[in-house]
Amino acid sequence: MRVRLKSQKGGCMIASSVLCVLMFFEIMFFVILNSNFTHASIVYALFLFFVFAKMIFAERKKIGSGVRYRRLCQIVFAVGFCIAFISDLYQERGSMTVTTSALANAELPFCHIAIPQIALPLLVTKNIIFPARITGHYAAVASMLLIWFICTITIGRGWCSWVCFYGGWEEGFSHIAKKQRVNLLPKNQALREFHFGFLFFIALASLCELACVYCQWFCPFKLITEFSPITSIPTLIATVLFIALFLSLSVALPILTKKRVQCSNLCPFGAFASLTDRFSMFKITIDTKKCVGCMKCAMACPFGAIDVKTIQEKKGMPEITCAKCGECINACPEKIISYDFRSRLLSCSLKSKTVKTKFGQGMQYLLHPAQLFTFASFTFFVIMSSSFMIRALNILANSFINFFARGV
Amino acid sequence: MIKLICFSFLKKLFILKTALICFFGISMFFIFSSNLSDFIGKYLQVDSRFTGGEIANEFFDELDDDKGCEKYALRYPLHKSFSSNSLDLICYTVFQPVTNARWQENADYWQLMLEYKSGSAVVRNIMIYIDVDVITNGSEDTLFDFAEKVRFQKNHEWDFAIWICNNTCNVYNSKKEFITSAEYYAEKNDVQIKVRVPLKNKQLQKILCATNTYHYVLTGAYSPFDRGGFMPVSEKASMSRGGMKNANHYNTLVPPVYDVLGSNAALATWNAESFEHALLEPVEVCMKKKHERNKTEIEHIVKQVKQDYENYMNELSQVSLRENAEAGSALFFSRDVDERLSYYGKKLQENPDDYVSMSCYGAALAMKGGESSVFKAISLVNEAYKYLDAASRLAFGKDGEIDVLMNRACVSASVPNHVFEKAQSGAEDFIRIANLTDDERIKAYCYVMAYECYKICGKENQAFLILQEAKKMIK
Repeated sequence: MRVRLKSQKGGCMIASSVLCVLMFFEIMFFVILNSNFTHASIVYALFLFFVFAKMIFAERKKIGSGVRYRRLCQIVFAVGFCIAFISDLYQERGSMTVTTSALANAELPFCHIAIPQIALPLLVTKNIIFPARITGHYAAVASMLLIWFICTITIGRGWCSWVCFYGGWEEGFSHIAKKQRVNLLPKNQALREFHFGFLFFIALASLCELACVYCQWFCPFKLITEFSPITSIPTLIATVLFIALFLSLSVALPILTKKRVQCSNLCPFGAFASLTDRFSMFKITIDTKKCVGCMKCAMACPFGAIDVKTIQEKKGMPEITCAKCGECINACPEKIISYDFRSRLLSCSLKSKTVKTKFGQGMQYLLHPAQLFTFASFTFFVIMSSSFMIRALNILANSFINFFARGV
Repeated sequence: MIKLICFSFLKKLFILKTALICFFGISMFFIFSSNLSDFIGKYLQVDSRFTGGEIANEFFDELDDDKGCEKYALRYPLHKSFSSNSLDLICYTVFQPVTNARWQENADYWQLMLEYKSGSAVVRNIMIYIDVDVITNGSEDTLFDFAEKVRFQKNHEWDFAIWICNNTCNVYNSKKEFITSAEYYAEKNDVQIKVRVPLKNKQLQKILCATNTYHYVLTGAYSPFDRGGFMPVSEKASMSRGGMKNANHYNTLVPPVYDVLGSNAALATWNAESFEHALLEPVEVCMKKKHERNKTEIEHIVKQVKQDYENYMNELSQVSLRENAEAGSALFFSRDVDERLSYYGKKLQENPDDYVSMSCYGAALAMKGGESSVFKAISLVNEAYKYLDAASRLAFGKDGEIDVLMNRACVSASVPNHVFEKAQSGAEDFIRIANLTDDERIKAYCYVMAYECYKICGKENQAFLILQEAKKMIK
């Protein structure tokens, strides 16, 4: 792959530029035009374009090295999302607590984590068991279901590593420590089984209770989004649980293990997305013939999708929980891990021919699964993050101005 | 060999498809996702236990009947907080009781919803008296003696009274004892009042077994210093008193109730000689049946009114063509847009203040937009509104206002609301035309069109209310 890409230098340059131009127009439309050329939108658009261009050209130099820009994007989005979302809650309700009025009027924001919880009850009762708006809001049920659908058929579980606004917190904390203090590699399989078992439990419990059980008792992100007011002993227990879960699963354990513990073990959407990932267009493949079994990919995988068995049994691809984050591609010293099309018809389709013309080389590079996947994932990121990030930038700018004005 | 070629071709096709999806498909999907989510939204609904339960029945009260009754018209108190129509009840919805609801303040509750035309919630004093069929020994008197000055049917004596005032809601039994406070929500700029009666209390739990309930809903002006919160009425309205439109109609037995659910005529049934208060009629709610709006009936009404209007217009056009061979009349009914544009354009050049020609020119521009490409259509319709709005301003209160408003309203009803957001103003135009005209066929058509406009902009209750006016016209 590396040899092949090196031989295509001229064509690749053109292809990378084409990708950047296409992304430029997308950023222009979704970020700048949609926000009427506000200062914050221009700043954010510049950031996005810079990151994308850096990512694409870094990939050209060293395969997998663009992954650090993915991390940066996800962390920035997670923080920006929280700032924008909390300010929205304050504007709407005056606090982060869930009000009785919001509950009575079914106006709670609906997030993707609730999708696997509402799926079974929706099939049985034909009702959504979550008090959210159906349409007309960014966090409405219909729009979230649509986003989930398009995501499933394109990038699949890539959502977790590219777009998820909660995952960014773990992404950030898992890169704080230099050394891994706890090694989860030997327990990867057991943890994966636990993850699916937990999804099964949550889905069944939600069906029996006809309420989203995970949201009610287990969601660690309540601490950074919205939470129920403490009015009784059960709500006190729930609040203590939320704080403990966030601090342990999203802060302490990611620091100690350098893995995304919550995403890969407890998030019901993560397990659900793993199951539906077979409908997506891309996957990650490992060239087993060239694999030397160094296990660096397994150590690097934040989702525990590669373990000793995966390599020993020469499965040729990570386990079902792979979120296509690209960490393994970056970590592999042999550069034998790459993105590929999921369809067998297309799989390895571009490896067979060597093209001589620059145009052909460019086209081959442009239509390579790695480029297509990166482009698709970044498009999702741009669209999902733009409105939150612009709001967050405005809030930050206003607070800075107020702070300095007070100082003066 | 052929197999290989086919395989290679298919491969290329699939790669191209994947590339198109990645490069353009995802962005296109998000661009059109609002339409898609609206479409999906039609088939999704939140579990009714979160939203108040299934609707047992809903009642639409007459519009602008917040003046007591015809026999004696009341006037609002003069305090500025009593804005017009703030006591005009337009819709009352009774839900089926909900049990075992999750995430709610009360797991078991009974929701009632009131909708007013406009105004602030703090000026209203609402009293709901409810007769539950499984409870006997109710009360015939009001919760506070001589407050509302009304009495109730002997066979439908009330068992529970729900008193809503000053952003609170309390429930009393027929012995006039306080039972519990209810959840109270004032939504949509105080226009919608939602009450959730908790069913923890044993007396209230009988509602769960009720087959039928009977409701008296009274709305008065709120005063914290008067009996039962009902601000009294006197001969003349003052800051702290309601008044009579005609001071001669004043009587001490006049109920200080501005609107009552059902016919307001019942408010005038007091008898001065026998010193009897007005006798009210309750509305009946079947608690076990799920209420659904009769869609086929609505469709039938809409279709019938539109057909009548079309026939009427055809007749009118033929008469106009026969009797008045003037080019303008012929053009008014012609479908050639360019011809219309040039004709009204010339007329406008001759007289720039000719508001009828101005509105016809605007309407023709909008029609031309309908035949053009998307971007051109947007600019043409925006241009059309400049003429239509200017014409409406000029025509206000003059002859020909109906024609001018009709042009603008028809354009507003036909342009896509998600692009131009004109459905609401279209509905308002149609209602104004209905108020201006005496022709019942035009009135009915306007109400039906207003109904459709309100439906387009998601104001279901307003739409349904307007349709009741069309129904009256048909009758």
